[in-house]
Amino acid sequence: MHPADRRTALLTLLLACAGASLGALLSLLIRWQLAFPGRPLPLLGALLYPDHHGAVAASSYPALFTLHGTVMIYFAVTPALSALGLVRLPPMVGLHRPAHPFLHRAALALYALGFSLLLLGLLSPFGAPAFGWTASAPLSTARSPGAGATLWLLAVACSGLGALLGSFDILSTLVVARKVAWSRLPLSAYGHLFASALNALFLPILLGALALLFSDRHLGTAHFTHPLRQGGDPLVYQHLFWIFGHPEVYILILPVWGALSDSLARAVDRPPALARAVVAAMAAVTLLSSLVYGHHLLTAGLSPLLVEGFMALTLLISLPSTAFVASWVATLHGASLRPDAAASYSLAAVAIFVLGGLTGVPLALVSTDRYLHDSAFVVGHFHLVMAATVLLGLLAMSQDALPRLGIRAPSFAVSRAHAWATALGALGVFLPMLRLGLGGAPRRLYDPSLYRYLSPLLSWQRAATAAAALLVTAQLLWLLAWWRGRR
Amino acid sequence: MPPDLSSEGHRIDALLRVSLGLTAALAAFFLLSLAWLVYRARKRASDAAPSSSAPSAYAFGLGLAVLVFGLIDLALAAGSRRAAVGPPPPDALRVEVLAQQWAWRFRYAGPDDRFGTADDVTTLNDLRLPVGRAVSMQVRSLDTSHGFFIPMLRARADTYPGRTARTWFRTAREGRGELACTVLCGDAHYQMRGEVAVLSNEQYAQWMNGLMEDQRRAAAAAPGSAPAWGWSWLP
Repeated sequence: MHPADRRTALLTLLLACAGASLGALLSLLIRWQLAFPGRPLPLLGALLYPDHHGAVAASSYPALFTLHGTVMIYFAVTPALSALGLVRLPPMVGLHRPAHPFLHRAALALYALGFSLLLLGLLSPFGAPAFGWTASAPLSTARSPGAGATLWLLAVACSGLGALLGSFDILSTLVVARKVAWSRLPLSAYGHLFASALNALFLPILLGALALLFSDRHLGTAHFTHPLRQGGDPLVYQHLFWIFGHPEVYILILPVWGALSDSLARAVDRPPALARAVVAAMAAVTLLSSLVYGHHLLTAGLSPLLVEGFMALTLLISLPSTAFVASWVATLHGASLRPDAAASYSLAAVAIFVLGGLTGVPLALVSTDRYLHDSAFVVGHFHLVMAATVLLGLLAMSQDALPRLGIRAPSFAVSRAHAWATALGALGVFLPMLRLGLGGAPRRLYDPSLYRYLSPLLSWQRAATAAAALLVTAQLLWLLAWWRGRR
Repeated sequence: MPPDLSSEGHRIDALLRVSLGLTAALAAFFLLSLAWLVYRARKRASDAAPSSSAPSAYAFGLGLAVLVFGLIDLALAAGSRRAAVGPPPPDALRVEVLAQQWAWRFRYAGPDDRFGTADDVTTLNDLRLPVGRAVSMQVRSLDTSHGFFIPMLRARADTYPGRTARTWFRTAREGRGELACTVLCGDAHYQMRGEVAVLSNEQYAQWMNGLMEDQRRAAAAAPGSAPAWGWSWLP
């Protein structure tokens, strides 16, 4: 690997690790508050909340989950996928370097700039933004004063622009510079291809929405403000955001799907079964991903015809998804498995992905979504897919990527323990969230114990919090695995 | 799930049970198959030669799985349509709801059954309804987006400033419940809680009469002090 690319990939991965560590710490603060509302935080309480006797302050709680979502998506998974693409893709297409390595270098600079702006926002007078990672208007415009919110906008724009540049490099590497026939490309390459196509199509919409938000905040416009007073409409922001926001899910998971297929195939020493069907399914999911976004707005009062159309399209996405599962099953069928670390992570990811994907069905149905929308069930569902599956997938991808960066392969025994501890920990955190949502628990409540009907569910909150502590602690096994591998 | 005080909520609950049951069954089937496949594949690595079926067999399996999933999707979509409540009946009790950071205001039309007149009755964070009655609600927001959610009545309406959200349900059982905001609306979002009670018709009439009497007295003591919000009911 070219030393310059190696440095870019290493630094981008380090930044992603920093983002993931911050995101994990924030999730522990959130989990503590939900399990023990108003009680002082152990260890960090006196440092973080000296004015509240060490307990999480109500006024800072929305900032915690805003930052958690923001860093995990824009400054952990996005840069990690970008770096892993830079390392893994060129050899797959018969090249030593990607077509335009400077685009990945520019992306790294933008991720670093964005991350710094986000952290700088914490020091501003009104502190961190508190409008959720979706930054819904008008909460994110007139009702969020201060530089922190503006710096958040710029930070996310930097990450989006970085991901866009990275995707241009991947697209040109795959489409133009490729030295291997399409039919001989591994599924990982197709995963990156479709994800990059979605990035190139939909990140500009996010950047546009952020520009309009910025304009509403600072230039006196009212794109997303009360229609009767100033002519804008907050619902338009919802459309713009989710037209990007839903494909973003597939941007993060398509490369993971490809990598899971490839690493399972490698562990059984045969090509992935039904590979052509998988590529067709990836293409179908890519196409559908932008057409299903309306399921985020099923309860927003859209016309019934539109709502039922979005429900039908959302259910339709289960059909191509079946192809991935069928391929994994057929690849393992009759095979002889010599598991390596990548296969352990992949098997854990496959198990959790199926569970997480299926929990999307009740959310896709208009009638049951009427009860489950914006509940803890939604949080459990998307974390099973986007947090647990994607994390395990990234770990599987890193097994062949990190040795290429000069880090010796990790210990298999410790990696396997890490894979299963991570999978079980994730189930321990996110399955209770499904139960909480069924009990009617809305997401994003600072203190659910204020609600009589939620009081009996406190033990589920505590179970999730205990599992979260285990999940985060289990990540030390990852460091141990690489450290043991080096010896 | 919290107890259901509405007469239509059981349809949502039933569909939820069916979809979760199917989800659980499919997940269990897959996880057991995966465990079995991995167990066999591990065993084969030590003592047997690998085998595989013809690609056409896998393609057939995939086609079958897509067909089964397609049928499940169709059945669930049909179930969702069946569970939908449709438009509210014309004789429904009408209530206007104004959401704002961080409270719920309710407006009943009063004896003349028209909104925006002097006999309107308003309450703060306190929604009481008669049992056995269809209730139609229109929800507006004064400032930012809010999510109107009464879990015990399986009722929800997300409201955006400048738009009117609607929901309706039929009360079936007496009981108490709570109203929560489900759309992040600022620092005190979690405190945007309301009390909901489904009362017998006598209790409801008594409560309503008491409120009207209080409001008449307040208006006489300080004319023009009635809360100035509300809108003509939208058809």
